[in-house]
Amino acid sequence: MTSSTPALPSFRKPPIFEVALGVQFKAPQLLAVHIGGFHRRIRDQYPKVVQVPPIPPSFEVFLPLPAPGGPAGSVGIAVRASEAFPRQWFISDDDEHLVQFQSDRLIVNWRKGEGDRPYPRYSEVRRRFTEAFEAFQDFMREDVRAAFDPNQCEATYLNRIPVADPAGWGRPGRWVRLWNDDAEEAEAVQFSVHRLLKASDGNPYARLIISAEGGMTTAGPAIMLNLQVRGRPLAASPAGVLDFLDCARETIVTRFAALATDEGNRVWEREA
Amino acid sequence: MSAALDRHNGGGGPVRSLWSTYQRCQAGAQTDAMSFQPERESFLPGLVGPSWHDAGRRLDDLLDLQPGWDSYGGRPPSPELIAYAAAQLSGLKALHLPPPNIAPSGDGQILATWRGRGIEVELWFEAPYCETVVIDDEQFPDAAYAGADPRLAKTTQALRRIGSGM
Repeated sequence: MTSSTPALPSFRKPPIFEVALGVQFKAPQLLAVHIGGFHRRIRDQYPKVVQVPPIPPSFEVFLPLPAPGGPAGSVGIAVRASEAFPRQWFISDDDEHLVQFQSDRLIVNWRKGEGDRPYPRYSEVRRRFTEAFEAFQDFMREDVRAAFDPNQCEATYLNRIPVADPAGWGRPGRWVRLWNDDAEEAEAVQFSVHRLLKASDGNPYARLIISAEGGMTTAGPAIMLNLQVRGRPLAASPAGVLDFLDCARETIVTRFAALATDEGNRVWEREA
Repeated sequence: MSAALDRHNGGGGPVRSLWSTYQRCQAGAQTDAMSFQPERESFLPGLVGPSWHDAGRRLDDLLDLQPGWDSYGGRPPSPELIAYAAAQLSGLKALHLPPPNIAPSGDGQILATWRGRGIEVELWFEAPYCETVVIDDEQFPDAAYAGADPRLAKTTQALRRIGSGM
């Protein structure tokens, strides 16, 4: 999915549709007036502003037994987001890059959009995240006068695999090895796989979630294949956040390459 | 051991604590669980058999607590701590373990409590990825425990014993 690190697999035309790098942190006491203080620092690159509802805080947790029924937050106990401070989208002029900011999250997205925009590679998305992240730390230090205390990080790769017709979304096995029951045409396929990522001491610190689902997009029928790593940074510091994101990206890219079928490798033009 | 437990135990908070029981166990004193009386009743009067729905609603309600919510200058739990507790409790729910009573403490922590089959469990959420559990078991005093429980292994074990009677 990226070619910036020679050791990692790379595709010339990966099916990446959107990439998001994010950090969740202990919410400082922010007022609406603070929004401008942060935007001022990144306005040159992200002049457009859209206000959207906040995302509730969430955590990856790791019990001693596997919890059936999906990730812990999906079984019915969910708390609402604080509505006191909305989420802001700060968008680049060409709509390709986006910084999301709310009282406890900072997320940087790259979006392919509906055109044929090439994926700028992880190095560019990471550079933009680092810039926004540094601006955010300046903002916390100078405007808010609060400590930065990260508690979750996440890297998400959304892939959109176009299929010729809706029947194609019932056959993800053509593209990924997670599914091989293509003998009979399925009306629809939807699944997710969760894997724990462990630190050197053997304790889990993050989770890789791979999900696939067929559906109709604005560009036609497609299989949406999403890979996400979420978890706790091993060091609660800016460097710990970037380390987490680099490791998450490596995990995602390696796993994606392992999942790609011969057909996928051919269409996405695997080069390493 | 959690300083919060010590503070809470002597602080006249809204919920009773097993911490004093644990201290007696550790000191080698004979703990007569049958005669053990709560110093104060539950924060949720009348809620005898909590459900997971109640627990979720209660956690959500914690978001509305204001500073001084307990008339003693109490600090409300932070939204991220509420979300973290919800995630941990969701995991216990997915394992079909019994639901807890939920209560805030005056110093911004969240307490989840379970009782049944002679076992009492207090799980204190102090901060994300920082929790303490106090377990008292009248049948097996040696199973008493107070301390960190990062992956809720001790809590899960105790709740399985409580849940086996349900």
